[in-house]
Amino acid sequence: MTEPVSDRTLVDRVIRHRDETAFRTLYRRHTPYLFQFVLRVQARSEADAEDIVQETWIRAATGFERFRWDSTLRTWLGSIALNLTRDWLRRHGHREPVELEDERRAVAPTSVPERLDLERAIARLPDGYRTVLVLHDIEGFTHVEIGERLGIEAVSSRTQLSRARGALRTMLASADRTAGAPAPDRATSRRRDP
Amino acid sequence: MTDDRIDPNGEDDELTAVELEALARLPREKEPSDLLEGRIVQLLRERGTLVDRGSPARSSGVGFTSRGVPVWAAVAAGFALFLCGGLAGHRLGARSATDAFLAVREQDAALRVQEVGSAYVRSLMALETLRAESGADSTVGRGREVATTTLHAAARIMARLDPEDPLPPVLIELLEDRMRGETRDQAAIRRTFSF
Repeated sequence: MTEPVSDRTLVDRVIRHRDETAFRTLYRRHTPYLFQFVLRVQARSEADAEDIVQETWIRAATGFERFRWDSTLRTWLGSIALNLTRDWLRRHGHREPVELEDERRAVAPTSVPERLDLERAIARLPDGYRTVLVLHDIEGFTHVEIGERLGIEAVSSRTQLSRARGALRTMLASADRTAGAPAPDRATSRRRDP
Repeated sequence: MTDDRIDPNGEDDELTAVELEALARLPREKEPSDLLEGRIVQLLRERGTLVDRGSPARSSGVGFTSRGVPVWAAVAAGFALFLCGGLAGHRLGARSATDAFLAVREQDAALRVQEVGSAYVRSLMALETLRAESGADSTVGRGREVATTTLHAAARIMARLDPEDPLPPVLIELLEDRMRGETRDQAAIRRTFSF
C-alpha cells in the first residue's frame, strides 16, 4: 500500500508548480475537519460556515510560502479558520448569553446525552463560552494554547470554560427534566479526580 | 489534554465520565457541499495561484474540454485547420487546372479554355439551383469563387500561349472585375462565357 503524499510535498507542489491536483488533495484531506470546526464555533448556518472555509483556503493557498511548518498544516489551517470565524462573529453580533439557573444547582445528565442534544446545547452557548469549550473540550487545546489563539490570559480561558460547562450542564439538565428524568444528586453523578 | 486543565482553585469542575463520553462522540468532520471545492479552485485559478492541467478526478470548471484544453482554443484550432484545408484545396485545384492546361498546350488550347468556360457556366447554374434549394449561400459563394479563380488561371495561360489572341485579355479583365466584386449579374457573365 502506498504512503499518502505528505502535506508538505503537496504544499510544495502548489507553490512551485501551481499544481491544482495537489491543492485538491489537500482540500479533500482537511476540509471536512475545517468545516465541522468552523460550523461548531460559528454555530449559525452552513452556508456562512462554507464561506469561512472558502476564505480560509484562499488565504492559506495564497500564503503557503509564508508557512514555516512550526505546526502541522491542519493546526495552521485551523488557526486561520478560527480567526476568520471570530471576525465573522464580531461582524454579525454576539449572541446574548442564555439565561442560566444557579450554576451551583446545575446537574450533569445521568445518561449520555443524545449527540444532537449536546450539539444544540453547545450551539446555544454564548460565542465566547462556546469558542473556549470547543477548543478545550473537543479540540483538546490547553488553556495556554487557547490564550495564545484568542489573545487572552490562560486564566480567562479557564474561567470561560468553567462557565461554559456550567451553562451546558444547565441546559442539558433542563432538557432531562423536561423529558421526565429525575434530577440526581450532583455529588454522586460527578467524577472526581484523585 | 494536559495538566493545565486541572482547576488550580480546586473547583469541582472536571468533566464527568458521562460528559467525556458525550463529547467524544461528537463528530470531528463534516462534508461541505460538493460545490465548495470547485468554487475555491476557480477563485485560486483567477488569482493565478493554481493552474489547471486537466487531471482532477472531479469536474473542475466551465470552459474546458475533458482534456483540459480551453474551448476557445479548440474552436480556434478547428477553424484554423478548416481554413488551411480550404486554402490548400483551393490552391491545389487551381494548380491542377494550370497543369492540365500546360499539358495540352501543344494541342488545341483554345478548345480547352472553351470547355472550361462552359463548365464554369454550368457550375454557376448548378450552384444557383443549389442555393435556391438549400439556402446555403456561403457554400455557393465559395464554389463560385473557386470556379472563377480556375477560369482566370486558364485565361492567363491562354494569353501566354497566344499573345496575339484578343480574347484572353478581355476574359482576364472581366474575371478580375468579378473577383473584385464589381457588378456583373449572372446573366451577363453567362453571356460572356457561353462560347
